[in-house]
This record gives sequence, structure tokens and C-alpha cells, in this order.
Amino acid sequence: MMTPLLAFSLALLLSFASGPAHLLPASNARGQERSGSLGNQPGERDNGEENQELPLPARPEALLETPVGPFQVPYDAVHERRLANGLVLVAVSDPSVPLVDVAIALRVGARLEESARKDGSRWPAGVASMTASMLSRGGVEGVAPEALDAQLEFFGLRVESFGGRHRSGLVASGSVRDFDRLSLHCAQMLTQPAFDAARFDFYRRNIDEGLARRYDSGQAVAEREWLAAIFGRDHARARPLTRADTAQWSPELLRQFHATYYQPSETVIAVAGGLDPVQALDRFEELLAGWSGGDGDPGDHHRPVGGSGSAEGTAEGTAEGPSGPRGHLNEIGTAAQSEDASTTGVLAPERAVSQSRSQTLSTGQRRAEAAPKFARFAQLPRPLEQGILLIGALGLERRSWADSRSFVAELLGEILGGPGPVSRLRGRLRSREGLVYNAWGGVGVGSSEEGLIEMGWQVDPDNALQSLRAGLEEIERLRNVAVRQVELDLARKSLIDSLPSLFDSAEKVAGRYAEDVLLGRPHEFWQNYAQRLEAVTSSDLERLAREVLQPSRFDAVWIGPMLPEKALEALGFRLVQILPERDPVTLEPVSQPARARGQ
Amino acid sequence: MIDRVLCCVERPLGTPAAPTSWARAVPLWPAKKGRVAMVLARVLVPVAVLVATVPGGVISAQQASPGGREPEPWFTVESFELSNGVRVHFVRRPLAHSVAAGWAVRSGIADDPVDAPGVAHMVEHLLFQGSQNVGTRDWQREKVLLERRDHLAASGASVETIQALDRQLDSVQLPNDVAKVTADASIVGSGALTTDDFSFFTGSFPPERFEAWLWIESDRIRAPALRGIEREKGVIAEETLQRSAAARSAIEVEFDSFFWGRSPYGRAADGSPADLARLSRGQALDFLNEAYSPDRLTVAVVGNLRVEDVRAITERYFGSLGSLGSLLSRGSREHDGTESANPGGLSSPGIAGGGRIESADTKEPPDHLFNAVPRGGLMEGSCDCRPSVRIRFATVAYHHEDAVTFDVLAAILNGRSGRLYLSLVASGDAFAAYASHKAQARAGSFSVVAEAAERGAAAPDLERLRIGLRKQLRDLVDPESGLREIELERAKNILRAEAAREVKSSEALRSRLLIDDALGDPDRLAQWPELLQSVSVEDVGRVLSRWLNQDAGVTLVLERSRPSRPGDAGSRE
Repeated sequence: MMTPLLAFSLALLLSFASGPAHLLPASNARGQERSGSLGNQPGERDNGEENQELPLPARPEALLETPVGPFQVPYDAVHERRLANGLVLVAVSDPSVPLVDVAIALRVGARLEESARKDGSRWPAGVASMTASMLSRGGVEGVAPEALDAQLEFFGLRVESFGGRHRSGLVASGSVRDFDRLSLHCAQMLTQPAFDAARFDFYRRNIDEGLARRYDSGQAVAEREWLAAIFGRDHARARPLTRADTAQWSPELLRQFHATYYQPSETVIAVAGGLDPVQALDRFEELLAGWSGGDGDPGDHHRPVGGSGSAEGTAEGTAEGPSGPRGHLNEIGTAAQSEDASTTGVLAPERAVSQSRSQTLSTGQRRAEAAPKFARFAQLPRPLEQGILLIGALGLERRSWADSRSFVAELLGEILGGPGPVSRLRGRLRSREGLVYNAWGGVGVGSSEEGLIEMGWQVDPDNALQSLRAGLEEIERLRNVAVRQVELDLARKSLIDSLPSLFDSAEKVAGRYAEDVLLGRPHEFWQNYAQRLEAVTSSDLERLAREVLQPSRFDAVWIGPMLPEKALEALGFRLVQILPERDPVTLEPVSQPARARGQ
Repeated sequence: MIDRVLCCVERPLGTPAAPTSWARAVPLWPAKKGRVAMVLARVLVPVAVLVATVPGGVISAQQASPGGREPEPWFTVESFELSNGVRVHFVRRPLAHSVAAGWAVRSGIADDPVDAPGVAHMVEHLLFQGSQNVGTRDWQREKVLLERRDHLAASGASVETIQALDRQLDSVQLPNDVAKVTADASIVGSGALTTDDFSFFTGSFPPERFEAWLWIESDRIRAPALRGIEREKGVIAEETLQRSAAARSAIEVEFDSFFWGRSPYGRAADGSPADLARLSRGQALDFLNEAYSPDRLTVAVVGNLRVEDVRAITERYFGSLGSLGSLLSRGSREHDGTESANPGGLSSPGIAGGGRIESADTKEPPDHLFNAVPRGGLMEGSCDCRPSVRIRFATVAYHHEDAVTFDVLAAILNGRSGRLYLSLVASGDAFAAYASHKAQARAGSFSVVAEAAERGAAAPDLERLRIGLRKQLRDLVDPESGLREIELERAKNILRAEAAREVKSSEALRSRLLIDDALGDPDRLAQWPELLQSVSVEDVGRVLSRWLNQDAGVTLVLERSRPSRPGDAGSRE
């Protein structure tokens, strides 16, 4: 437990007050000077006389002599308090910000729908997401939702709730002066939601209506079909929501779910902004110290996992969450919202899950049992001007927060298709061949379940085969050719350079710290992050690439004009499958699979 | 992403809109205590209805309006001009670990020459392909090869001949050098954006790398190479397709063209595929020469730096930029035989008349996207989307004094306690209803939109929504149902908070400073609280009557395509 350190926060503020002492003024420019007059170079701008007296360096490397100091994770500014009921409060102050941000996150999500209810029956799919979504929409005890909406909007307060597979919660913000009001609303929504019947009906109708439109977007269809290809259509991580699921929901059911799983011991609250952090903690303690919450068993697989990130750990991984700057590393609120937006929120409910899954097999064992003999290419014919291609396989499951393979995987993903400067997919498909606007890829490391290896792009159907061939070649190259040291160093530097952006505001610092608590991630993880990446070698990358980038494990999904089966077989796909269109409501096939183009 | 908007120059681009140097302390909540008592007297009953039932929600006079509170310091913007006219905005953030910086050129898609549509976006792409100093083993040799290639392409040389030259270029170019230079300087989030009115380039880095960032960014235009245009044509074509992949995007582009007619804002972002294929390196060089002059450039920096460092080092790199030398440009034009006729958008907008639509029939939309386009300003179409009605009105430019009033009007209409939701959504007629104001450098547009509750909504249902939207605008100036002070205060509170949220990240604040400047109102952020506070009920009524009256507006009615997807055959359950 961290002791509040207001004095240290002040010192931190003062330490920045004088700016970086090593930033040299222009007259002290270092390094190689440009040879000759600027004006003598064809195509260059005709620069004024005043500035020609100070020739500019010929290359920017000359300006890199001043070292960038190692990044210090600013957790010293964090104030933490653990209440007797298990609730964890975190606060970080930034007096320059006139806002206060509140993020409330719980280890509650759709995974709990796989648990049995007290009467032995199963929770309907989507109930976790709907419960979370209604926290901010359905009013609170004694206050109608319309009155609550009016009050929030009158004061410019914003409160939104979200629910994903692993997390649920609220994010809120408003003027510092309205913090008492904002915190009261947040606490009431968390502990006394009303699940107003009329609002419930309204949002369920919207969800039902949304189900009928979920096949409008080719991208959404591609992701759904790809998950079905990876996990199987009835797997919990792939099965879309149906109206048979939503028909089982009711306000009473949401109350039951809330009363069962919303518990202070599963909750972390982060507060940040231009307010006294101690007063912020006092306020939430005043509001929530008496909260006892539900009595349901949230299960074991969300419990914190050990390992400091400084040494190889051995504990079995159980927490879920991000692995590094290229993962889901926003503050807890937005991270969970991001999950919400793409998976199980009210606005996109189709990915809510219900099926139980095996928890005992390792990735390798599961693949050995269930993997198809050869890679599969599934295509759903649609007359799109630009098709959508997704390729991937099951990724890794983290053994602990010190699991060295997760750092290797992060670098491998960065080189394969990360957003940094070394992405091979982007370099090949965009920069070299001009086939796509963007291509992405990553090697996912899950914590309570496997991550996903995924790569994809959108491409003119006429270029689809060429781009597919190039993408598969890049996978093969990663497997068979050692990554050059310069490439590894660039990827590593890119990841390390991204680290400060994760802590670039009080909101982010508070959120990251709270996320550590929520996931069981040691706070030292971030301070050791660069060191762990530095330890990864080219041999480590090669070993992992050979293990996880096996073409026979990869499934591909294409949404677009039909591609010829023979050409796909020539690329190495031994099974080419034509997917049927499905009724978006019932998910039953409504068309016979057509023959591939050219067949 | 490309924003669409357009029309009517009200102040020539490049005209300095601010004094040479100025600094502003920005309060979030300005003190206007005199107004509060009046506001409270008029809103007493509605406020009681709204908040008295909320535990702890009894509202006090001081709480009712943030306008009654003491000013709250926000941040200070330091603004100055470099010796060559480049404008700089700087916000110091002592707690920030990274610096968020960017620069913008106040020329965009609307400034494309008439004979080179798409060139602004192309230049933005080409500036990311390195320079004469980055990305090449030998610029002098590469320059000769590039010009020879330009000539061959213009003269219709065989593919084999051009490919042979490309192989020579491959041997002299260093495609990985750009990424290496960027990574070595610890720059992350390097990116660019082109809109109708501007392009901007951004990145984040440690404070120690500020000078390296300035070197790299100024080098893009100090020593441009503009290599790789053929490859980037393919990339832009894919980008355009990706952008239009949204179900209703294609028809919305057509609606833009319909709405804005022949004005520069009525153009497709990248021109047609044929336009894109015709673009030459010479045209790109001409545009760069014309549009990227120092008096059109703005730099924005947010982070833990000293203002004197920012001023001195920015002067060294961006202040030393002059007009482009002519050798490369002339040479290229001589070789490829093309010469831009008129960088028309820069000085000759296609629309006059204070932002009003010149004519609804200046551009005929293609038949396949809609059924009929009556001259009265109605466009009907269909898409794989929720049926909807959109009414769009021509309004004022970003820097116009009424622009903020339109923002306030949108906030009055929006939200779960706003008029559109309460009248159309809560009643079950609409799935969603909202208003938006989009003001850009030369004109703006105000839209009200209602999406039908039923995916199978037919013409009569949509007509009801259209009437409902019109009614909400009319009611705001009706003596019985007109705008109340409490609604105005609510809207201002929302907009104040939204502004604070928008700029709390350094990256967002950097972008906001660039955009405000590029759209012609660099002081917008600094003056925002006062601008908001000055908007009155009468102001809202005035803009409604003048710009959003019952005779104004162009309507887009979208029905759902049928048959489209499986499941649509069935009616709503």
C-alpha cells in the first residue's frame, strides 16, 4: 500500500518547472554541419541571409548527442487507499487541469456468464454487458433516469458505463467544482442502479434492431467470421448475441447479476485532475466505505498473478489485460471502453458470449487436438470495391507478468505489423508495393486466456492474391530468416519510446496504476519494461516465430468478390471454403455457398 | 480521414489574423455574475424540476450557472511569428513527459488546381517519403533519374522502359532511412492529415529531441524530393476506398457535391481515379511551391519546454524557410510537359454570396445513387444503413462571429435532455437524432439528423421525421415554445466542459491549436469561454431566422437498400 505523498507530488511539479537543462539553444547546434550554402542545392528553399549564417546539420543524427534520460514511471505521484471492504482508491493531482476524471473498473464481465447462478441455471448471454451499460442509463434508486440525465447535462458532467468480457465500470468527468456532485452520481450508479424498466425496454429494442443490421459492415462480418474460424462458431469468444439471448433479459435479471458480482473487493477507482488527491480519496471513502456489494463468486481466473517483471516468473497466469505499449494500454476506463466498443457493449452487443470453454489445456495441447490439418481460407462473396482480409491463429497465454515470452511476442508483433517504423507488413504491402493503405498485425498474449495472432488489411480485389502472397511470405521470412540486429533494435526502441506516452497526464498515471491493481500486475512492471525488452535476442524471436507462426495453424477470412480456389490452393491453402450469408437475426445460413471465381 | 466542407472566402488565406506576438491566460469559467441573477429568475421552476429530485441535488444560486463562479486558470498560449511569417503557438506543460508538436499548411483539398484534383492529398503523402537528405544514397543521381522518369511517363514510354528506370531508382533510394531517422529521434505517432482547408503533420518526442523533430519536419519542405508518386497513387486509391467503405459514405460524398455545387468544397477529396492516375510529380512540385509558402505555415508545440527555446530553435528551422527554389520544379515541368493552369482554390473560390449555396443543380449527381433530385433541394437515395433524414443548411465560416452561436444551438438540441432526443427519440419515432455544426475556413454547414427507429421505415415515416426536425427548429423561435435561458446555460456548460476535455491531452491540444489557426481563428481557444458567455437567446433566434429558416436547407432522405442483406426481407419483429 502506497502512502499518500502530497509533498512528493509538489516536488515533482517543481522539478519540471525549470524545463530540461540539457536542451541546447539553436546557437549551440551540434554535430556535422551542412556543406555549402543552402541556396546552392537544387530544389531547396531560398533561405534568408540571417539564417544562412548558421548552417544546419546535414542530417538529424547530428542532433542526437544529448542523451534522453531513462524514463521514470511517475508512480510517486500516486495516492492509494484501500478500504476495509476491499475497495481500492487511487488519485493523482494535476493542478493545471480544470477537470476531474473518474474511472471505476470492476473485475466483472461476460466471462462470468459462464458461471452457474444460485439456482443452478445459466446466465443468459449478454447480461453482463447489458447490466454495465444500464448503470449510467437506467437511473438510480429514487431518481428517474430522465431527471438524472437532465442534472448531468446541465452541469456539463459526462458519465458513461461499459461492459466487456473481463471488465465493467464507469468513466466520468466534469469540472473540478462539481466533483462532489460527480462523485455522488458515480457512487449511486455503481451501488444503487435502478435499471428503470422503460429505459431497459428502450435499449433492448435498440440492441435487437442493431442485431438486424450487424451484417451491413463488411469489417464486422470479417471479424465475426474470423473468430468463428479460430474458435469454432459456438465458442464463447466467437458466438454472436441473438434475440433468443436478449429475450431472456429483464430488469430483475440485471439486478440479480449486479447484486451477485458487483463487489467492492472487485473494484478499483481512479481519480485524476485539478483537485486535492487526499480530499478526493476522502470523498469516495465517505461515499463507499459502507458498500458491501454482492456475494457471488467472481471465480479464480481473474485473480492477480505474481511476478515483478524483473525476473522470470513461474506462477500460472490468471489475470487478463494488456502486455505493453502496443497492447490495450489506455487508462482503465478507455481500455475497457475500447473493448466495449468492439465487443459486447450496448452499441455492439453481438459478441457477447455465453459458452463455457476448456480452461485446462495449454495452447499447444488444444491445437494438437483441434487444429485442422492444413490452413483454411474461408471467403464470403460480396461485391465490395475493396475486400477485407484477416489472417491469424491462437496466440499465447501469459504465465506470469515476468513471463519472458510475452516480451518476445511483443517485439515479434511489432516487427510483423505494429504501428511503429519497422512493420514488415506495412513496409511490404504499402511502402514497397503500394497495394494497401494500411496493414496491421500483432502477436497477442492473453492473461486469462490465449491472445490472438492477427494480421489484416483492406485491398482492391484485383490485388488480393498478390497482397496475400506477400503477407504469407513475410510470415515465412520471420520464421526462416533471423531478424537483423538493426531491425530488432529499431523495434525495441520504438516500443520503449512509446512508454512515456502511457503516463503523460495525471489521468493516465492514475489509470495505469489502477489497472495494475485490477490486473494484479506489479507496479514495477513498467520500470522494468525497457530492461526486459533489452534482454530479447534475435534467437528468441526466431524460436518464438517458429513456434507460433506456423502456416498450418493459420486461418484466413476474405470478405469481397470471390477469389479463385486454385490460386488459393497454389498459395498453400489446402482447404478453401465458401461461407454462406447468414440471417443477421437468427445467424442461420440463408444462401448456398457459391463456387469460387474461376472455378 | 478527410473532412468535407467548403465555400466562400471571407478572408484570404494567409492573411495574418493575429498580432506578431501575444500571450493569453485562458480561464475556463469566466465571471459574469451580473447575468446569473437574471438567468436564475427565469429558470427557477425548470431547474427545480430537473434537479430537486436528485439526492444531494438541491441547486444553489452559485451552482446554477458556472458563469457565476470565479475564473479558473486553465493554461497559457504563447503565440508569435517567425521572421518569415511562420506562426507559432506554444503551451508549456511542466508535467508532460513528451512534447506533442505539429505544423500545418493552410491549403487543402479545396485549393487543388482545377487541372490537378487530388494534388494536395498527394503532396501530403509524398512529403512522408523522405527528402533530398533523407531516403537517398545520392540525391544528385536520384534527381536525374526522377526527372528522366517524369519525362518517360509523360511521353508514353513503355512499361518495360519505366520499370528499368525504377530498378535504377531502387538502387539509389533508401526506403528504410525515413523510418530510421524518425525512430532514432524517438519520434512516435508521426502522421499527417489533409482536409479541405489544410494539411497537418504531427509527432511526439522527448523534450531533448525537439531540435531533431524540427530538422526532420522542416527538411520535408526545405529539400523536398517527392519520390514514389506512382506507388502513392495506389496507396491513396486504397485509402479512398477504405474511407468510403462505410455503408453510407458514398452517397454522403454525393450529397456534399450536391450541397456545395461547383465550389472547391464540392470536389471529391482525391478526384476521380482517372484524376489520380494523371497526377504528375511536376504538378505536385508546383502545388508545393505555391501552397507551402512560409506565410501559410503554422507550428504548434505543447510540452515541457521553455518558450525562449521554442522561439529560438523554431526560428532556426522553420524561420529559415523561404520560397522553394525553382530548379527542380522548372526542370520537372519541362520534362513531363505538364503545368498547372491555375492553383484556383488558393485565390478564386467557386462560390460567392456569404456562404449560401449558389445553386442546387450545379452538379448533376449520378442516377444510381438516388431516385430523383428535385430542384427544391431534396436528394433521395438508399444505402445499407438505417433509414434517415438529414437537413443541411449553409452557414458561416469558422472565424465568423456567429459560428459559436451555431455550436451553442447544436448543444441545445443534443443530449438525452436536449430537444431532439426528447421530441423524436423518447417518443419512439427515431433511433437517434442529433445536430452538428461544421465550420471551416470559408463557410460552414449546420445539420439536423434523425435516424428512423424502424429499419424498414418507409417514405411516410421519413417524412414525419423531416417534419419533426423542422418543427424543432421552428419551435425555438416560437413565442410559446421558444428557447429558455436554462437551456442556453445547459448548452454553455456542456460546451465549456467539452472544450476542457478536448484539450486535456497534449496531442489533442496541439491539434486544436493547429486547426483553429488553419481555419482562420487562432484565438478561438483562448477566447472560447468569453465567446460562449456572450451568446444570448436573441443571438440563437437571429441565426435561426437568418440561416435555418423554413425556406433554407437541403434534405437528404435515405431509405434502406432492398433487397440487401439476408434478414432484411423480414419485417421488424
